[in-house]
Amino acid sequence: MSGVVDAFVIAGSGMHAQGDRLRVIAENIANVDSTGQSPGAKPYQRKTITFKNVLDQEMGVEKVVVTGYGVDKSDFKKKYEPGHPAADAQGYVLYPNVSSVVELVDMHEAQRAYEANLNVIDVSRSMISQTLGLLK
Amino acid sequence: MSATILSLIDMVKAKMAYSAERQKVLAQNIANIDTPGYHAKDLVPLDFKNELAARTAQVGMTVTSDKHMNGGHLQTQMFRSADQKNTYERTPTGGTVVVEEQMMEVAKNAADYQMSTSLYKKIGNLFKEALGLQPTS
Repeated sequence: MSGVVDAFVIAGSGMHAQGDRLRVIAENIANVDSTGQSPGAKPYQRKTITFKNVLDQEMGVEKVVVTGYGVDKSDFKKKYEPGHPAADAQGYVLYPNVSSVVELVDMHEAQRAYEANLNVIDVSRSMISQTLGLLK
Repeated sequence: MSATILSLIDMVKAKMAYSAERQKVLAQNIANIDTPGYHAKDLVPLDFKNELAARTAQVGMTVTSDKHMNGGHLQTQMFRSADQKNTYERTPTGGTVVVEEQMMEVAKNAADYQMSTSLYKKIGNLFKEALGLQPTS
């Protein structure tokens, strides 16, 4: 029975991690057009998130935690816009290295993973109610 | 008759404990879907031969005084988990958790658990029958 209760905590940690991932994706999508303000200034750099499994000593279960946020080091997009305030001497403006298609796909993946964790909670809950049903 | 039923209850209890523990391991797998290098785990099915060997192989110390403790029998861990073999795929980051596969296992485990609980109910009904009470459905 305690195994089923532990499942709640583990699935909760998974949902928390996926929620954080969704926040990073939202930041990236919101800043898809955030350029610099002055000529040649760097635009918004795409953020990334990394997960790791750690042993929760107290409960003896392996939870998932967010180990950190990083930045995507790929090249910025370059567009020819001489009238832009951030345009360099040649008239090019640097745009963030965010691809909305990649972010959208990532978002769906995070959603699916979140759903999977939610499903585990659902199944665990029905298992517990079955056990309590034995008292009837 | 009652001894048979009691051992039956013990067996159902062990099966329920196994399913509960397995639910924990499967939840771990699903929580770590996107963890690089995480290998999907599963409980090792209980094997009577191995269990017996592990239990009989333990040697106790000889006690020469009443004040000595003989060490007793070490409690072996009831359930052991190991990496799942032959998973559907391995991601480029080295993880072997496939969500469909894990969901399938979770559903199977829930069905197993339901079987155990209904069996438990049936056994309880046997007692109720004997006591002249109304059996529960």
